[in-house]
Amino acid sequence: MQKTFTVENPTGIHARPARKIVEAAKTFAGDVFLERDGNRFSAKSLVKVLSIGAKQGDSVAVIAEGDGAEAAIDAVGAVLVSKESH
Amino acid sequence: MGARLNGTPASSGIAIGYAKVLRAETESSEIRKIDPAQAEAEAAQFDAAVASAAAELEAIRAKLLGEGKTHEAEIFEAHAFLLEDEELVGAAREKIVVESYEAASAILETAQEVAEVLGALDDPYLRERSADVLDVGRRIARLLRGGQSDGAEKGAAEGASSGGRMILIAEDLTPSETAGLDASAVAGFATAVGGATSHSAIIARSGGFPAVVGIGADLMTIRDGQLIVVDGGSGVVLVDPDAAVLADYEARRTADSGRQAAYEAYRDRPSVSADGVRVELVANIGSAADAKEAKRKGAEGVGLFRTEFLYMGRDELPSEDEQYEAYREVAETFGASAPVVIRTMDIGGDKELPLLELEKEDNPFLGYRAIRISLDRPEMFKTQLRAILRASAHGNVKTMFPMIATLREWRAAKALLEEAKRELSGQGIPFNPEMETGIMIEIPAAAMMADRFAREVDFFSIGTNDLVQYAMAADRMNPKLSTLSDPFHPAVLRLVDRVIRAAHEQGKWVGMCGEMAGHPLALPILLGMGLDEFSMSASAVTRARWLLARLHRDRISSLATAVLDVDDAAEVKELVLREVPDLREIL
Repeated sequence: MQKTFTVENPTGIHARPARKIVEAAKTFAGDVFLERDGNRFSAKSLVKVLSIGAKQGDSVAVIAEGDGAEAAIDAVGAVLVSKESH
Repeated sequence: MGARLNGTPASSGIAIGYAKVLRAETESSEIRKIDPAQAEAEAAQFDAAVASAAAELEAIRAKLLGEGKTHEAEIFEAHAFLLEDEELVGAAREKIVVESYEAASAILETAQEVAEVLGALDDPYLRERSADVLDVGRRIARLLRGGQSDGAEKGAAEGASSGGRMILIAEDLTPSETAGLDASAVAGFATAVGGATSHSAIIARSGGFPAVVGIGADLMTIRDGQLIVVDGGSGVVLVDPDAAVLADYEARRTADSGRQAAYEAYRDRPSVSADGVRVELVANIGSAADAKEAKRKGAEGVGLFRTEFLYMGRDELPSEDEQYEAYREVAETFGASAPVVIRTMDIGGDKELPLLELEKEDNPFLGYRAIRISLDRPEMFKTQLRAILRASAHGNVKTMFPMIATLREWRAAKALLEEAKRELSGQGIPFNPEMETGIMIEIPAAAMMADRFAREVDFFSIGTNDLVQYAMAADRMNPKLSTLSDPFHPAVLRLVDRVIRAAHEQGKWVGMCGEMAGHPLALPILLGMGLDEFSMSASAVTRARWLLARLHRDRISSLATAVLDVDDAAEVKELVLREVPDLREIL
C-alpha cells in the first residue's frame, strides 16, 4: 500500500528529518520506499533519503507492504509533514 | 618526527591548529582484490572495523558533549548514523563478499560513489554531506589498514573542541573560497601553488590570516588532523612539531598578539613620522563592506578601490545606478575629506569575465585587459566613468586608469571622461568637475615615461605587483619564480624612484597600491624616496602607522639612495635592517 504526503519542513528533508525517517522505517521488518517523481528510494538508508532532495511543498509517496505496513507508512509520513527541523 | 615545509610567505603571523585538507580532486585509491576464499574473513574484519569506528565516534561525541559543544557533537553523531547505512556500509560489505574487494578498497570506493550522488544534488547542504560520507569511509579504511587513531582522531576531536580552529591545507584556494573563510574556525592556511601576490594571499592579508603559499606537492601529504604550525612571516609550515618547538611557536604567537595590541593603539592617530612628515595610510578594497572594515582597522581612506569585483560573477554588466550606489557608499563611509581612489575596471589577466566573451590567450597578463578593453568598449567604460563622477559629488573621490602603457591610452581615457562630464552637465546631474584623475604605473614603459605623463595627470599610483612581474619577466603565480618576483630588487626600486621624482618635479603626488606598500621593510625606503600615499591591506595599516612613528625621514633619505646602488634584493634588505634594526623583531 502507499500514501502520499506533502513535505512541510521549510528546509526540506535535511539531516535531522532524514534520520527520523530512517529510524521510523527501520522499525518495520519489510521494505519501506519513498517515491518522488517516479523515482523510488529505500527509506531505510540515510543516504538514499537525503538524495531524494525533497523540499518543502514536494509530494512524496511512502510505500510498504504486509503486516504493520500502514503503521510504518504513517510513522514515516508523520516526519514528512512535520515542520520541526530539530 | 615532524616535517618542515618551506613556501612563500603570504600573510604574516603564526597560526597553530589542526590540518583540514581540502582536496580538489577525489583521491585516487587503487582497488585491491583478495582471494575469494578469504572473503568471509575479510568481511568479518570489515565488521570489526565498523564497530571500532562506531566506538571512536561515540568517544569523540561524548567528549564534545561534555564540553557543551553540541553542534560539533552532532556532526559525529551523524557520522555514527552513516555507519549503519545500508547504502554505504551494506554496499561495501557486498563488494567484499561478492566481488572479492579488499575491505578498505570496498569502503573507499563505496563512499566515493555515494559522495558523488550527494555531490551532484543542487542543494549546497546536501553537497556538504558528501564530505561526511567520505570522512566516514576514510575512518573505516584507516582502521582496516592499521592506521592508528593518533593525529587524525586527535585533530578531529580537539580541532572541533578548541572552537574548530583549523589550518586549511589545499592545492590552491580561489579568491571566493579565501574570502569566505570563517575567522572563528580557521586559524590560517597553506597552499601548494600561488605566490605572495596571488589573490588568495592578498585576501589572507586583508583578513589577517597567517598564510604560506607555493609550498609544492609535498604539502598534500599532510593528513586531516595533523598538528600544523603556519609561520606566515618566514614562509615555514611545520607538521606535527615536537613539544619544544611547539612551545617556542606558542610563545611567539603570544608575543605577536602583544605587538598587535601596540599597533592597535595607533588606529586613530595621524600618520606621521617621528620627524613630523605626514603621509597617507590608506587601504586597498574591493567592496563597500571592505571599506567599512578598512575604516574600522584605521585606514584614513582608500588608495585602490578594485571595481572589477562589481563586474564578476554575474550575467550582465552592472548598471550606472548600481555602480554609483556602490561608489557613493564607499565615499560616504570615509566622509567628505578622506581620499577614495576608484580604479576603473581591471578585467583580464587572472580575472576572467565570461560575459565579455574574451578570447583565451596564451599570456593573459600580457594580453587584452583593463584599460585596453575599456577603450575598445566606450559605452561600457563611460557607464563606469559617469557612475564614478556622480559619486564624486559625495566625497573626495578620485579616479585612475589601470594598465596604461602609452600617453595615447591616457589621453583617450581622459577624453572619454570629459565626454562623460559633458553628458552629466547636460542632464544637470551633480559631480565634482575638478575630480583628480591619475594613472596606475604598473607597466615599465609608463614608469620610463613618467616625466611625460606627470605633465598631464593629477597623480600616479604605483602598482608594484604587476610592475615587478613585468620588470622581472616573472609570472607572479608561479612559485618557482618567487625569488625573481621580489619588489626589493634594485631594478624595481629604480623604477619606483624614477616615478616618484618625475611626479614631484611636476608638483604631483604619488601613491603605491601594490603589496609592497604595506611591507615593513619597504616603508623606510619609500618614505625616504618621498612617497606620499601608501595603500595596503587594511590589516597592515596600524602596523605601518606604528612603524612610521619610529622613522625619521631625514635620517633614512640616504637609505633610499643607497638601495638603488647595490646588486640584488638581498643586499637591499640587509641595508634596511642595518638602518632600522627594530624591524627584525616585527618581521
